[in-house]
Amino acid sequence: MDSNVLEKCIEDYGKDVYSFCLYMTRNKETAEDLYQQTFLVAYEKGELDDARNPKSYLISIAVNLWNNQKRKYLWRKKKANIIYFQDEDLTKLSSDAETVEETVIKQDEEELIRSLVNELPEKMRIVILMYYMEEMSVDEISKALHIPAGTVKSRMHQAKNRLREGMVQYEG
Amino acid sequence: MKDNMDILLEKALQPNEVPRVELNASILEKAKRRRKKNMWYGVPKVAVAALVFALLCPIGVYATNLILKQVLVTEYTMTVGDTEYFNEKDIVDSMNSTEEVKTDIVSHEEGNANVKWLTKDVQKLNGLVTNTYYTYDDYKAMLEDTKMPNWFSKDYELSENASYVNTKDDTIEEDAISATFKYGEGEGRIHLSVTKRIKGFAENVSSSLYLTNTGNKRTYKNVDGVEFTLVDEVRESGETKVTRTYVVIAYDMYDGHIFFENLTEEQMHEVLDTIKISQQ
Repeated sequence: MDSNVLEKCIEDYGKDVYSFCLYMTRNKETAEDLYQQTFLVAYEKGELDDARNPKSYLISIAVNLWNNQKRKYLWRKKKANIIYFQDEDLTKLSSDAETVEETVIKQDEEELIRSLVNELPEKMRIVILMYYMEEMSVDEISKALHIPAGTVKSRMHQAKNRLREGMVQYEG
Repeated sequence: MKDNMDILLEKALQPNEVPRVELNASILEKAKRRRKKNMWYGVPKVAVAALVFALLCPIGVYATNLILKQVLVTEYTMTVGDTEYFNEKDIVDSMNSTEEVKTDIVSHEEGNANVKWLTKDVQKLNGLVTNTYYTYDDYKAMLEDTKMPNWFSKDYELSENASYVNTKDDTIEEDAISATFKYGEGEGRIHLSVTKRIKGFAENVSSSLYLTNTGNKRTYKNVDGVEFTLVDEVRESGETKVTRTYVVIAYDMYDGHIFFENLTEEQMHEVLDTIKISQQ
């Protein structure tokens, strides 16, 4: 793959992939590593310019890399201290300092839902991010995660129920 | 039809986070360097051995439909599973990492007449990963407790206590057993390690065994027609050289390895002939 094509892909999809990595890993340093690896793997595979949906293709790579990284961490029986990012520009995302309760005080519905998404179990969170943030279809998600479409729908349904309960609890 | 939650999620999860300019520049720089070196991502071309496919032919009295996963042998690893996202450098760096791990001992118990284990220890690593370790002096008892598979059809005597560990954090969980057996009356040893992925892992996740100074890759087809890849690892400690021969086995949610010490090639084949794995 030509490096000009890579540069164009980063320009076109960098924000999507980066945002996804941030929300999925919930750690800025890890997200940056994953973001970088995602584009490098896509570059080496050389299939990006042929992909029907490049963004979906890149997100699939990111999820698979993340799954393999988790396996490696556990296999080593080690895990670095997770430092949740607290970039002042990222006020939208929950951090160690900002709990759901504190977000409610701000009475911003969007901020609240982002906090609640951030607290979802990873399996549900990834599906929600792929569907709503990256606008992937159920079929695309199913193929990327190697799970049946029914499982995708089930996780989304469970996730949305949890989010609704979270909203009711903190707005109630 | 979209409901209010759908609309709210679409608005709230707009991908607005912008990567640093330096990060993007770094990607382009690395891509250019890789192109110059003409490497397969993360693995030096000259160190990549041929992929070995292990297929079981249903010959002999004991017939199974077991298909083992492909084994990829590289300079520093034996890797199974989906190698599409395999990154050897990542694994080497990870194994050579000097980052500190804070280990908190949560509890220690001694076994009694009511349990089969000898000791039980619970530890927390970096406050995130919980390891629950058990030791046993009876291999079959450990398998009964843990429901882990027995890969051997022959009983070998333990040379030391065997262990079982359950490892988990908030997203993933796995079980692993480890045992070292005597081979005959001499110094020969058979070391076995089996891991079962319980939750949180992709079905096609890869698993790598980190080795040093690998060489002498060869294959052996056992009496049941299962083909194993054997790789030697030579470890040097001062003037002492220790050679271990490794075999990796992976299928379904299980992966593991066997390594042999102080066994002849014929003796290793004899042990591999006793491997009987039935898929559930």
